[in-house]
Amino acid sequence: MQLQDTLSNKEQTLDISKKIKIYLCGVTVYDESHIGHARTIIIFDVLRKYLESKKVEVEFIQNFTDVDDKIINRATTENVSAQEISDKYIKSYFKDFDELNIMRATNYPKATEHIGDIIKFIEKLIDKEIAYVSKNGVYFSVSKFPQYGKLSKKKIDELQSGSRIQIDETKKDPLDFALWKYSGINPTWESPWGKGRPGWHIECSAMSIKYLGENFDIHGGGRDLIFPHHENEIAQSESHTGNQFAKIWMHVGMVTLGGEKMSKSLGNTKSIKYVLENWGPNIIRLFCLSGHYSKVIDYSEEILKENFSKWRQVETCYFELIHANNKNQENISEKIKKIGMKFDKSLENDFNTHLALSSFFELVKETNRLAAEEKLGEENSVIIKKEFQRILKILGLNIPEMSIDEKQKIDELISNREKFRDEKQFVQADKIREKLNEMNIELIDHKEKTIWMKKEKIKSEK
Amino acid sequence: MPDTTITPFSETQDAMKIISLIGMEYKLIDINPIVKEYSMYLVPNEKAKGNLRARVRTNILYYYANIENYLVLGSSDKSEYLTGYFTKFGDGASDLAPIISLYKLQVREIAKHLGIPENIISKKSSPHLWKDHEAEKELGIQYEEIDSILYCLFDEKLSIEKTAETTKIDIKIVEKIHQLNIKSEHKRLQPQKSDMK
Repeated sequence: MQLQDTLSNKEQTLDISKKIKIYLCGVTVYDESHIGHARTIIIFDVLRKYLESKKVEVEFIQNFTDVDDKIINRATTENVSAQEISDKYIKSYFKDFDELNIMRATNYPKATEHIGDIIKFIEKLIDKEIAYVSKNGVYFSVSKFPQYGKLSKKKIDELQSGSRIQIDETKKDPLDFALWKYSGINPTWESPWGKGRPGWHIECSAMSIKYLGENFDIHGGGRDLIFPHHENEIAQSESHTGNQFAKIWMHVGMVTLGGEKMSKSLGNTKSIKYVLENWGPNIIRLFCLSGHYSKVIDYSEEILKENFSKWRQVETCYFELIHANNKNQENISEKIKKIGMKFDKSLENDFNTHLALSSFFELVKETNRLAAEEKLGEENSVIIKKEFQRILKILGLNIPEMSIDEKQKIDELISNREKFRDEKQFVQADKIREKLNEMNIELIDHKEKTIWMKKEKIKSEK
Repeated sequence: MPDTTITPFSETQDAMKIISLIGMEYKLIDINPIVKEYSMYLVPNEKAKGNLRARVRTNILYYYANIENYLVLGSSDKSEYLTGYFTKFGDGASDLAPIISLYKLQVREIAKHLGIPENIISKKSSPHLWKDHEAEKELGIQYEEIDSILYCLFDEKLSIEKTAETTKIDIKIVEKIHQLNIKSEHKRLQPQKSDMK
């Protein structure tokens, strides 16, 4: 599998003959997660699902930043402890992302549960004279890591001349960043240098190396994390171990709103709760996978509507496959095989979900065409269904299984309705139709038969 | 086993006083570095950390009991036991509980009889799980009242109303002590077991 690596700016080969270790920068738990977070996490979820579908073992670590100025500020405003804030939003995180059908990570380490590891990490950097103790905390000395800037392609001297008035005079260099900050506001921990808490970047270095080793396969995150977060992570980690840190750096583009960056400070975010309520998990996943992961995608109700009609096509396809019984069949096995191969190839070529989705919709359209032309038989259906379900699983899309009872009940209602219509009892027939509508059952008429489909309830449809 | 950042030094001095009176062997262990190391890897929570201190002490007690083939004596009295004012598997864990049938006030009487120094008998009862932690402050009632209520409820088996009437203590307080007892039932029971045959 080929993946574009931000660091080397080249496509790198991901060796899938062995276990793959992935570290993804998770969320800072001080507020609700938004569609931007969802996109990054969905991309990595599909990557993992694809690898696992190929029987590759994946160890997936995603952190929670649960000690941070933003959390502390929110706690102060709401007059509760920082822990209460982070607990609340961790719970909220799992509620959202479970509903989005995200597979749980192997582990979700929290910064507050790794202070001991972080302190040891900093101690080693001090021992190596790469970090120094100052009046306000412990700082990483950027000049001690000559490759600084290699990820973000920034030059140290340009960064230095670009930096304005030095805010913190206790730093040796304005580019130096905090590893440990002295603080009296809880949560704080004792350290060899003074009571305080860790800086933001250090937790990811300490925790990724702890769980995945010094040189793991993929480090991921949103593009906005390239600088300074990931740049600093590389500096800390490689100074600490003397080895290459992550092999591949994979960055997911932002979600914009009307072309503008979505951010808490601008107040233009769309929370996952909001989009889930209005569109449900499948349409959100389709939307998040619709562009190449490295590019920006723009959020708009129109685009979600487009994905909504695409989702209806997928549902139609599924129910056509279930009800397939045409006698007259085309030989489609080669065609389907090709579509499946194209799907895989798109993903293996820098994880192009945009192209992969095109293949998927080719399959959907082909199926729906066969059904419309009364050429979808049981044999065809078995072949298509296997591929359809394989892809559905990789994309994390979900059509709820119906119980036999439920199916029988629907079949019964439909045959009753037909009976009433034959007997010209239209009032009764309409009543059944209403009932079917309530159950979100739609009837699809073919020349020879009428089949039904159960549609996902989407609030924004109305 | 003081946590030197929490336990007032006077408490350690009192313990040393008793030790020299009896002439027993002892170890003075500051549990602070142990608790500190724990908290480097656990989500911060002051209450849970308080109970952790009690459990760290229990671990150390059983560590030495293990080496010496000893049994551990528990320090819980009847007032603490009935109100659940102890840490489950912390100070509540022991092999023998020699003073568990005595109310706090009775323990103080016995202490007088045994010739325990007056300042130890009369000082405010405290688990010192966190800074300035005092039992009566946390419970919001004096032990004189608690003991009277417990005696009426559990020894005389009087109703809540009758207890309030007899002790002339506000029924709300009686109710509160009664609730403490009910809510701490789990601390006095063996772990609930699934059907074992």
